[in-house]
Amino acid sequence: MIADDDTSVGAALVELIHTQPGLAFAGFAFDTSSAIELAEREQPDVAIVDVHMPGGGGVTATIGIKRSSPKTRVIAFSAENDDIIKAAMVAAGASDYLIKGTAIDMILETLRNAAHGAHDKQ
Amino acid sequence: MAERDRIRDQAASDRDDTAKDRDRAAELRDRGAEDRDSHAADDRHDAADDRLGAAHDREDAAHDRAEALQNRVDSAEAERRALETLEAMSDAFFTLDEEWRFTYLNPQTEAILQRSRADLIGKNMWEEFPEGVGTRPDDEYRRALREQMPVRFEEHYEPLGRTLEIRVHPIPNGLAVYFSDVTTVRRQEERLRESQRLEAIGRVTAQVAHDFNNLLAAVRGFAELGRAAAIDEKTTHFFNEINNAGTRAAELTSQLMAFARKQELSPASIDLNGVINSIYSVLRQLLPPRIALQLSLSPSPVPVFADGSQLERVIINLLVNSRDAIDDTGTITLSTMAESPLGVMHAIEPSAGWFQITDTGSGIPADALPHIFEPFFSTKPPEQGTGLGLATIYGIVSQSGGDIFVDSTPGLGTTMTIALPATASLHQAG
Repeated sequence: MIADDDTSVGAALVELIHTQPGLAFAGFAFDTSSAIELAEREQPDVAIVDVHMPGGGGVTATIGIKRSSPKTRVIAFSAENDDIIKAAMVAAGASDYLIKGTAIDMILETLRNAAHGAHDKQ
Repeated sequence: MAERDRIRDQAASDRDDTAKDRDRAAELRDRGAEDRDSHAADDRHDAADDRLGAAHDREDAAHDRAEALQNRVDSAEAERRALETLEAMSDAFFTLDEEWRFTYLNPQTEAILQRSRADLIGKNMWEEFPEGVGTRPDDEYRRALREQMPVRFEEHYEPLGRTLEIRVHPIPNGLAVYFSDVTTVRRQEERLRESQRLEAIGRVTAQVAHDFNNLLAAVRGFAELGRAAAIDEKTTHFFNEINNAGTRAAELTSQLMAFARKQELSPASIDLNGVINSIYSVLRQLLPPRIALQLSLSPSPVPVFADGSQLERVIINLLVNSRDAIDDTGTITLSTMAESPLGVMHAIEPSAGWFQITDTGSGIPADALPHIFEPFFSTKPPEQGTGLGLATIYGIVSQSGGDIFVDSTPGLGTTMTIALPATASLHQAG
């Protein structure tokens, strides 16, 4: 699943996922509460979560996603390389932190690793 | 015959004369009587006049006594009213004699000096407050007494941490002193100057950040093109590094834009208590075990109209700042309230939600306090931060229509107080 209020970023990620065999798109959420609901409903392997989600923020969204779908691996996605926010997202349960603008192959590698990690947990 | 006629005539004449004499005597008697009556009347008149005069005098005296009595009553009434006024004044007022002894203090003086009038009346002011000897107030009081001219000045009274405006007036045999606490007014003036200064910095910052962002977009775009066209790993690596550096630069400009209040916010009505409760586990994890985290939340919801994501960021950043200020063990307390915890009114009251973060850290030096919200200002070593954290927070809070207050004592700790509008308003900057 993808949780991001920026539709252009979300659309680009969806397109990227569709190009990769072994990855399936589980859904899109625009704010914190809908992201938590989506995670509870879909129980996705991976959730890409924007750090600055409206309606509460990425930290609150990550806490809620992990509570409603413990197996989901959360990848924090941010335009900023802020050490404090990075630490907060990790403390909330994120397993990875990606900067927007990171090379595509690095994004894909992170996605696959997270998905495998989620499968390993099951 | 003639003789008898003569005698008869003489007798008649005598009888006539006698009659005339009698008439005349009678007349004289009458006149005398009249005179006596007149004198008596005059005397009586004079006596009456005297009595009347005396009565007038008594009346005048009575009037004078009444007037004097009335004057005493009026004076007493005026004195009573004057005393009531002095007792009820919000200004402190006291009087000194020429030997600097207190002759009167009103209740506000007792409150500000934290001494009772019973304790101070008759005592020498400089002996009771020796810390004032040799200071500017000492000079000004003596000048007022010496030159018999009123003086006016401001002084920071350190024992109470208050700024006082003092007016000294010469009076017969001493001085009358008025002083009022202008701490709040001066603080508000200082805050206005500070916010205007930061706003000016923000305008410059926004323009620089905007121009820099445009340049960064070109650098990153061409780095991406170069990476796509690279024919070996080494070249690809070089372009990746260019792109990564561009990403970090973009982060800086993003924070600068936040300070300059040029971020995009998505405000909504949220409960401060809810936000803090929802991220409490994360806040706790961000702190080492040696630092205690306490919550003192309002028993009722504290609604604010703000961007939840940015609010999360503000709380987390403030917590980390507090954490970094505590070298050993310590406590960080998060509090929420629906009313101002400060002794000052704020422009966004009464419709505001408040929260405070208090730490028992090292505090902020007084000379650094005016600068802590400036971009790139930091009291930490360069490797511990860019100096944009508080600038970013200031920008977010300001853009949300709120305000931030700092109270810090080196060696004791710091309290950051943030006010946010409780409802959407025209004051929120966009």
